[in-house]
Amino acid sequence: MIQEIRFILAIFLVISSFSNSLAENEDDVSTDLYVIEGKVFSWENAGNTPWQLMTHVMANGGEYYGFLREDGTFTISNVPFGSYVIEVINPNYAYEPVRVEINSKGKFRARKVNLIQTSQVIQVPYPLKLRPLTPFRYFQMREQWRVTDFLFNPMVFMMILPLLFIIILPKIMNDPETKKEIEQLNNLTSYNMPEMSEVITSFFSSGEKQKAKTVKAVKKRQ
Amino acid sequence: MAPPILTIFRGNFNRFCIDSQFFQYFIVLLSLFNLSLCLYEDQVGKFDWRQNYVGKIKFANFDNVSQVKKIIVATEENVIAALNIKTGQILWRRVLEKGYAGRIRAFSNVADDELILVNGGVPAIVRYWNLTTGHILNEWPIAEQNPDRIEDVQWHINDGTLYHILPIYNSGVEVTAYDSKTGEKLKSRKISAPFISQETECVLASPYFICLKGDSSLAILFYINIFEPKSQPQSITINTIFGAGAEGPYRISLVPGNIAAISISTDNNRRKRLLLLENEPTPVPHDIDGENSVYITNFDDKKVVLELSYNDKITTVMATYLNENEPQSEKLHRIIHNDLYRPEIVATTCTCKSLKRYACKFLLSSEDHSISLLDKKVLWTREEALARIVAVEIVELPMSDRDQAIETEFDLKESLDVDSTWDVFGMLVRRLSSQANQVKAFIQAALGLEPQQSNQRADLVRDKFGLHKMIVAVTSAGKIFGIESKKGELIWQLRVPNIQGFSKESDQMVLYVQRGSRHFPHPPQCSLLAADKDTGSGVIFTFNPINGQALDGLTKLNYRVKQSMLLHVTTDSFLRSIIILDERDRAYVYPESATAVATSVGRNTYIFTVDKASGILSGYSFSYSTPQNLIANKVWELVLSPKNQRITHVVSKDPIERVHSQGRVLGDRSVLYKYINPNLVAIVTQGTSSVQKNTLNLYLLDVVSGSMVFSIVHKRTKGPVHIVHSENWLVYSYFNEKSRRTEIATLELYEGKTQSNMTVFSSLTTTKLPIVERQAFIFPASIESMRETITEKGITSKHILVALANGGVLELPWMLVDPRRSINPEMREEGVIPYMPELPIHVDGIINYNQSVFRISGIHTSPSGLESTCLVFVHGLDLFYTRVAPSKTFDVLKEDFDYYLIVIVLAALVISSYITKKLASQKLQKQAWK
Amino acid sequence: MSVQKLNTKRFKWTLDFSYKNKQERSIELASPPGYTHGVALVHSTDHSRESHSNHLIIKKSWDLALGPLKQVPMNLFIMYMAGNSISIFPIMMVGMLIIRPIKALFTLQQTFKVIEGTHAFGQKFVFFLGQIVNIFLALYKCQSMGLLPTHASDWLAFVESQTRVEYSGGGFKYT
Repeated sequence: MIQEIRFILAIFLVISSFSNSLAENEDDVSTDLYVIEGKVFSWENAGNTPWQLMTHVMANGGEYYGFLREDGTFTISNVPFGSYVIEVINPNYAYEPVRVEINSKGKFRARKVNLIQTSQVIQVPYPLKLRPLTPFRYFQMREQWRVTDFLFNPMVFMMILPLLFIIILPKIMNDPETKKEIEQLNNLTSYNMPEMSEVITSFFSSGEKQKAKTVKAVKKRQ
Repeated sequence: MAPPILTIFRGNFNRFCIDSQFFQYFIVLLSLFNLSLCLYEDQVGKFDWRQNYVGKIKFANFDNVSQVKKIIVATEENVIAALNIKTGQILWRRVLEKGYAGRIRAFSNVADDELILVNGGVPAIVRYWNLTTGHILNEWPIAEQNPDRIEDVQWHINDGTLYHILPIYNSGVEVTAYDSKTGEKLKSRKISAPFISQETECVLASPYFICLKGDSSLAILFYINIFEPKSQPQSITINTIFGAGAEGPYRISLVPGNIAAISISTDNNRRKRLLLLENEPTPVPHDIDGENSVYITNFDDKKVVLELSYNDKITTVMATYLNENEPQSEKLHRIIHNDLYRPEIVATTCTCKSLKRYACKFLLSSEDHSISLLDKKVLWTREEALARIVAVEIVELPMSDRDQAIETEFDLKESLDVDSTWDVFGMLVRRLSSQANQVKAFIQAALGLEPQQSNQRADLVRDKFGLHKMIVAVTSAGKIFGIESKKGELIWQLRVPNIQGFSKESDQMVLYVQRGSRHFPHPPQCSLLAADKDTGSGVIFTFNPINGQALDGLTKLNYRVKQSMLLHVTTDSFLRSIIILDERDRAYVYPESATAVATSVGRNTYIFTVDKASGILSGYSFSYSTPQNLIANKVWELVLSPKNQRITHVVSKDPIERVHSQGRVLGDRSVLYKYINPNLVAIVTQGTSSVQKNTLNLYLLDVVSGSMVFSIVHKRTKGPVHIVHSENWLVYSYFNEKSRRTEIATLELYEGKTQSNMTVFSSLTTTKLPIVERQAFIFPASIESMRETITEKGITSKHILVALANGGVLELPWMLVDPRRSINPEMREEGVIPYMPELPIHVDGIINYNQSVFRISGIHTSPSGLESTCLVFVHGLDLFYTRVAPSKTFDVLKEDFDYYLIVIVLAALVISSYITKKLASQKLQKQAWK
Repeated sequence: MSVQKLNTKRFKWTLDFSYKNKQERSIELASPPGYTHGVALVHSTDHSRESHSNHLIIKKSWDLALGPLKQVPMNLFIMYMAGNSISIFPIMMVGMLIIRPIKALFTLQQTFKVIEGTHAFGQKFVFFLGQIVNIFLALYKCQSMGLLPTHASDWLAFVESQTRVEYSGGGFKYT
């Protein structure tokens, strides 16, 4: 019995000492440094141009730099664990940035950068393979003067169309049949508005009118 | 039943009308806003320029091995570059990390077209470059065992092996050898050298490690050959080197050059001697003046010591041949050149022309950071001080002499006798005489005769639109440059001896423009306020910014400067004086003669100062000044305890800024008046206590009354923080730790729908706190610097220039960071676009297209003569200058204005109208005849 | 009688120009085109002539006076069609709506010089009123287009910037 107790105590002690040391290890922050590797591809027609000179790789906005070897591979050394945004800097071509996360155990994960939904994971192969997306278009084209601009200008339309009407219409008007048609159209659309002036004048001068009417009647009967 | 339905219908109809009105406004006005800020391809290079610099040389070497002969330099700015030997132009340049991580510690000699470089902090990275192309060949990190001793580590690169040498106090030297190309650890050895301790001054001159112990005449030099496995420490006394009579204190330093040697200086640096360390330490019995710089090299198996002495613009190079018996001196060059200032030889290359005749090229680096190549005469010079600009001002150029003479006709000060000459006849006589003079000058110029002496260049005059200006740049080396803005040409340089920035960390110096060039007989004047190198007390240097001549020269103040401010009123000669506050809170006026003017406005003038270390902000008033003396009294104090927070930024508004519109028009046509407080200052602090570790606090403080107008806290954020404070808004950027992205936040202050006081703004009487609108946005790149554009009258909209880490400078319209951008998409307002969380980086808004500018330390903007244009000067490692027009150039005709098209169309219309008139009258006539 | 019967039986379309009695004349003879019976009698008397011409004049002048009011519905229609946006067509229409009444007001005297009548004052007043109504319509249109400076935001450009009373300077401690 006592022996068993002693045995159990001994094991307990051993385990506690181990866990103590283990705990200490967990408290220590890992100071391991890692290396991020990848390859940058050049754009077409790069050929013999010193494209590796013009391009370099930046982690986290300039905290670490990686420079390109002749075949386009790069390494970024001395990187502690954490999350890094890897961008390729080139003045003429745009590359898509990649987020590389190194966790404290040393595992690498590369995913696309999404600043709005930061937890979205679209994985990208690691070691990185970065291809150019599009060349930068820094300039705007000058407005060229085209003949269509001139012709389709509304002002021009407003001037030219009436001009055409003025020229074409008299030719149409000279034809007698169309004249009659237009006259008929006019007859249909015309209507007599009540003569307001007639009403008011009659209202105001109704007295005088009656006198005139009686005179008229008298004259008639003669 | 019916009436309510009718009213409802009418109400909805009303709202529909209003909504449709809004919608129409919105569409019309959005179409008027052109959000694209493009350059045209043919405008490239017309009004912008870029200059690349490398920085002060740390290591240099001539590359004679590869096909193209060049000079390889590694500089203090963490840059390695290859320079063309003939012209000094940069062939290629690699910029390493900023600050500590990129600092270059060792540099191998050029061999086989490859270069090995060690840079960095803890741990160091060894990079291995191909010199012809500038590619990196390999890179590997060195794991560092003793990270806190990194400053003592010495490196030696020899034959493809990199030696890491770490002295361990009281014990010895630990030498670790690595294969320099692959990083494989070869061997590690410990050599016992008990003389090394913390008091000894040690230097590595391979293969020996030498320490100097002792200060008096009993000093001894201990040395040990660290590459010999069985070496023993040996010593040599000072007296063996100098003979008797040498006195301390002694200093040893490594002599730059191809041969291992050290120099020991004695008599308080008045003379020094060399000790050659190739095989056995051999003293050279030749006295060298302490001020001279030394370089040791080989001329065809003969050892030569090159001494460079500088005395009042005369540089003399003496070569001393170390023959067996007696050293023979020979004067090689004697040069008088403005560009050289206490130069040192950093590299030499010699080719043998014939027996005894050597043609040597020397690469000199001066104390003011400029690099020159000397070969019988100075072939080229690079002004590398411009890689570290500390203060910039853009100054207007004066008008031409002739125009100034015309202006003086109407100058009231010129005419002493106002009564007699200001009548009609007098004015007529004056005008005629000045015009006669002008005709004479014109004829003279036309005939090619020399006009009178005018000490200004013909093209350094103000142009029609005020776009040609002079950029005055003060560098940390104490050199002031005048750069004209059209092509970036250096017009003048001034060296101000023995000055340094106010604090060690920031190199800060202050430049004031006391008088511009608009007041003709008085020359324009700028003043530089800095600290003396030896004593630390203040120093003022005044000069004329147009021709670079010193006006009053260097004035030494016998106190340390705590704060300074430019006065807002001018003296009779249009000079704005500077008020300087010293450490004991006494106020001085520079120039002294302007004290009366300063005290007369004393009651309205306030100055504040922020102490980073103690976290105390204090405000002083000058209202108790007497007419003879300016007295500063503390009127308010605010303590931000350094236990909780550390003040990092204090940003006030630009004093020349003017706000044009006093309010903002809302959708219902009412006005929201802006809160424009010219005395408002933004203070940013970062949390230091463990509770507040990652917080950012922003306070808006009125520095006249000391009242805090607004404060805001951002949690889980970290720097770097960049702030733009202008008009009634504030834009600042920080890094959000939680979402790991850079964010930009905006604040805008409003008084409300009515103005509290229509005529006057006084900080002491306003009691109403402003309404603050705020918003935050996500910015998809990392920011190095931010600045707002500024124009003369403030009518043009403001754009924020953001310097990105990828070398571009983005012009961000303020409309995109407007805090009133509504989240609700139905509410529309004039000039306000709906809210999107991410700010787009339009590629056509990058004002430096593909001319990347790296390591930007600041952007300076200045108004020009045109209201629509703002001049932008970006400085850092490179310089870039351009013009921006935030609302497009609304006050000038566009560049591709089709004059010809308009003229042709007009002519065609006129002709056709005449023809038609003629035809019509002819037709009428014909009809009348019918 | 027999002669008459004979005539009417044989020729339907003939006009008989033979001499007839006075009674028959008034019944059978067609009057020349454009001739109305009673007018001649009216014209014979001075008084009736005068009153008729008066009546006409007054009628004409009332025509003139009511002209502007008649234009009101048409103006309303034009206003409705022009729309509330700010572009060339609505502005032209509004301009026309404003300029016409104003011009007419200025030429008020001239227009009414032609006509004198007993109701002259009343007519002028009605004319004037009509033009004012037109102007009001045009102003209402301006207001609904937002062209009239009735709100505070319209006077914003004239608001002077506040002058500064206190001046300040300073920043971080230098040393």
